[in-house]
Amino acid sequence: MPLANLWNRILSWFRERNDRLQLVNDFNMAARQAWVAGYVPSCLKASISHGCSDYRHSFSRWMASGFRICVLSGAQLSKQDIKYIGEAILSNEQLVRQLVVLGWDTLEVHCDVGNYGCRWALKDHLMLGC
Amino acid sequence: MAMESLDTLKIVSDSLSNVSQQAGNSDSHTWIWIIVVSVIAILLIVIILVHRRWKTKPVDKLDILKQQAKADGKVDFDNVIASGFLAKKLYDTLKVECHPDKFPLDDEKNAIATDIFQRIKQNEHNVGELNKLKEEAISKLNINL
Repeated sequence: MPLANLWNRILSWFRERNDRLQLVNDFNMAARQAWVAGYVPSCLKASISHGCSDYRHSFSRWMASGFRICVLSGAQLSKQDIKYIGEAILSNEQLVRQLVVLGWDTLEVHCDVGNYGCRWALKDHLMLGC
Repeated sequence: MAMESLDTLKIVSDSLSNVSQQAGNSDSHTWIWIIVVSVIAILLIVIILVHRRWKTKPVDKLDILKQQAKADGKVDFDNVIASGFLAKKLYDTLKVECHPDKFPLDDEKNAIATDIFQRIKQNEHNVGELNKLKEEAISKLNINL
């Protein structure tokens, strides 16, 4: 059934795309609310980037496999601060699994000021078999 | 003689133009029917495929993983975002105040502190869990934070 397979692929592509955008929107909404309420000192903004080809896994998307977080702080953050934000995301196993199954393979965190950032391979933080 | 030939030519040209118009009309009707039939066929194929897709269960490993991720519920983004900024300070405070070495004489408190300290280390980046552990430490170890 090559026609049915093709149709299934088209359907799953659209569904996956919708889920990816939903996750990014949920993240951005929560970040905006936390910043407006004053819980956090900086606003985070998630977007989809190209990703790193070295971090690919079997569920990776061909393009747009990077989950990029921009920290809107207005000043250059230290490497430790950027690392801590990334590790807070990676420590949430449920979020990491969702990112992986939705085709992301790279997590990128950078600041809005300067050209410095960190990136991680999501497959290294899956804790498979634990 | 010349007038007769002109009339004949005019009649022939009129009849030819009528015939060509009729042929053009029948062609356009045929094309409309072809388009209608093909649209109906495409719609039928789409309906059949969608119906089959709904009937079939996912057997793909990726589909199963996606369903598991959805079944786990929504990710607590508020906790994730707060953890990125607030967990470090709380973790640093708790790891000092709840260290087992601070209770060397009381065996019971030392055991509780050891348990809490291990969980603090496990939840280094989770501000929600750290807040719960803070409450537990205050109530069980009688410390001021």
